[in-house]
Amino acid sequence: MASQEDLLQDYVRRLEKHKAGRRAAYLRLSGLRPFNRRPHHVRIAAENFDALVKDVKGQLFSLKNADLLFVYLNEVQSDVEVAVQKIRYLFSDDPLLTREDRGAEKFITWFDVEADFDALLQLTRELTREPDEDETSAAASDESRAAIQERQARGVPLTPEVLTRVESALSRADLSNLVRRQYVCGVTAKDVPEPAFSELFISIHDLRQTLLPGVNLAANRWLFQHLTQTLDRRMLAMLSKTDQITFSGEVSFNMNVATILSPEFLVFDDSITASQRGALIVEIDKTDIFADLGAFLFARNFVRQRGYQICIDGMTYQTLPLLDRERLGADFIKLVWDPEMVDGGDALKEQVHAMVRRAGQSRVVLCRCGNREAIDFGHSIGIQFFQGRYIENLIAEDNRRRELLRLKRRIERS
Amino acid sequence: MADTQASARTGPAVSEETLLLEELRRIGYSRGGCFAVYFHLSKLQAPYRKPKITRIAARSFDGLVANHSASLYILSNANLVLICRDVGIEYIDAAIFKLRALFTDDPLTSDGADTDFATWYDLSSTADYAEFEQMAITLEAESQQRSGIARPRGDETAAPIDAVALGQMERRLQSLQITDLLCQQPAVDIRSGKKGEVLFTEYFVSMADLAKRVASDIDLFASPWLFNYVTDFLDRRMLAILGRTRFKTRGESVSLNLHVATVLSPEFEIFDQQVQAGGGKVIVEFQMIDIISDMGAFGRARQWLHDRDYQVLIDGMYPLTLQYVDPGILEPDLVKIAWSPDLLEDMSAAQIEELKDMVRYLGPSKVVLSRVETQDAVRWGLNVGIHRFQGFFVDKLVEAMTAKGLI
Repeated sequence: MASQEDLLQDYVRRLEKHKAGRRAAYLRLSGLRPFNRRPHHVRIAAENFDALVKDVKGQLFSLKNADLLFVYLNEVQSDVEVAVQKIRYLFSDDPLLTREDRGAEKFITWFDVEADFDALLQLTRELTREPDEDETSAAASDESRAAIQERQARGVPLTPEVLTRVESALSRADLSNLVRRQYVCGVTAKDVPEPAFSELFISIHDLRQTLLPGVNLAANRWLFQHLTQTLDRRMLAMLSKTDQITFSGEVSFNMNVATILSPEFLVFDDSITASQRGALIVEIDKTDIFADLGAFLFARNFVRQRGYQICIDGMTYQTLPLLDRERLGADFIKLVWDPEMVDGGDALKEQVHAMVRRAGQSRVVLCRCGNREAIDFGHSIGIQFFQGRYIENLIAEDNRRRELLRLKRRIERS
Repeated sequence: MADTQASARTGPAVSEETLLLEELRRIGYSRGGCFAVYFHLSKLQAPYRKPKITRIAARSFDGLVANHSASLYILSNANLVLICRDVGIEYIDAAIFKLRALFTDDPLTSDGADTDFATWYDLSSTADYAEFEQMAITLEAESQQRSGIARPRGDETAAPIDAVALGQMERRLQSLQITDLLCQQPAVDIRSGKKGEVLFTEYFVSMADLAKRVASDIDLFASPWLFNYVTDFLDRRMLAILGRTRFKTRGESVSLNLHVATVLSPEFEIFDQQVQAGGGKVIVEFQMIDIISDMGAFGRARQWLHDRDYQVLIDGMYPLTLQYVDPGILEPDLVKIAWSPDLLEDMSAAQIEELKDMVRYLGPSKVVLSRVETQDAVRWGLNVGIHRFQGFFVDKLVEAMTAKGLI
């Protein structure tokens, strides 16, 4: 039986005369971790192209090294993009895809068959060539090189030693210029954002860039979580100096339960007025609830008694059924946007809808909204508050619009 | 006088109990308008009996102490004593209300009578004064005894683990043979009139022993995050050892504590191949804190494990956790609830009923009561409908039963 590689070679040769109006998508599943590219993974990924193949809109080659090459007609470009997107979600926890910056181009290559025919031909040749001894070792060395490159891109992993350095750097540095504010907003039918409150946080991204180049802070979940306790304390220090951060409207900030129960929080609490407390929302990560439930319950009662509000951060659609907002005594919960809520089908959507209703539609903030889709989904299940890059863009746009309007009026008046 | 008191307060030798007794004797000459309130915070459930929590709770009286003639003592038994002179009851009530509100989740405040929570002494009455003074004397004696005995694990004598200590610990762990720290403990099914049955044997690294070995002066349990970093590190060592040796030849089930990320790692694949080849039956135990931190990963790990005939156990549940979380949603094969001696006294009738209901809902065959150290624990478990047990008491039970051929 002819292998897929043989078929591919044959196919591409014939394609030479039918280059126009065709494109190709090359998905490098071989770059995924071994655990993620077992035969059944590849099969599930390949199935996303089944409908298009059946409709004779394209041809799929499933290669020995687990890579997929799909050659298709221009007209189904959007369908292919959807299929690729689904495959990306399938492997969304793989390092290849989690490194959003460079991962995207490593995972997929797009070809315009007509314009890029030579490149496609070259790829085909590489794929169909039988490896010999020399090349295997060359390939192995290539892999080592790739591994080194990947490690460099990832940065120095967060080890206890690095953590020690980072902590001491953080305790000395002036972090006030790393404090960022993101708004939690309602979004009107006309796409106008209406701020409800804003979150203050120390930008991990900028922290890494400016203070700790080369250190991958998120590389170890537990060490990172520990590090946030240091950030908590620095944030408290900044919050209690109101000349460093302006309070305007309601403001939320992240705290570990352990920090809330520490002397630093008590000092902070003493330094602000009752009315300031009323405008503050303490965000506690969902994981922290389980670190010590008794401590969480007590801390919650304590901060609420002092007049703060509470928000449970980092909830996902999977954790929603597990934790009841009211029972936990939280004023808000933050639900992390995940396209799976749309792609997972109507049953999942209905489930999320029901859970959001139970939590209270005006009590849920859909966060990390990176695109329009998130807002549309949120609205469709009655969510009223949103946060994320997309919202920040809407605010910027809205400000521009207002500015233009002001200018226009000024010109009209003059 | 005031000066000596101030310096005495900072010195380590003078206890709050001694200071209380001193004040009591001082006011003994003119007791008019004086009263004391004794708050039984030591009757709260175990999760709330922590020095950190008691200290913050004591702040409920800050206003009284600052603005009125009142003083507060935080006793070494976690109880509080408030002493006032001519302070309006309404101020005291307001402060007590605040204090109680901090513990709304505890039966002491939700079900208990006011007298369970606080006892009042009218110090202007000779009888009350004498009774209170006698109590204060007893409290001081007890506190001196307490400070004489070694403090248990997790107390303030060991320095809480930090990044520096963790780094040192990790280096020591690299070269440490963990094989001899590997413990095993059976879980059994006990039902009246039936033979006992060993369900599975858990293999685990005793973290307390490990801490003693590599960091005896460090409280490893002080940071849940760094603790998890250490267990994560140990996972791979465990897999390497267990995959090679132990249970390949035995027919029984074994259970292992692992992180979700470990199950999704290449190391586990290797382990899996070894286990499949050996025909072993394996239960993987996950901690709630690990599951919740990435539920998506947990879902994938569970699916993968179920596809390959492993069983999934949710570990580290407490009766308190079950009041807030329904582990059934995680679709586990087994759920482990940790017993502690406090439960005998701490739980209200209503909470016991809720727990019974939870056990029924999860299915009694899915629930294991762990850390069973006494016969009382077994009795307690049977009472709430649990008939699967694990712990030191069970170890002895299994030994005895094996000797008599009952297993």
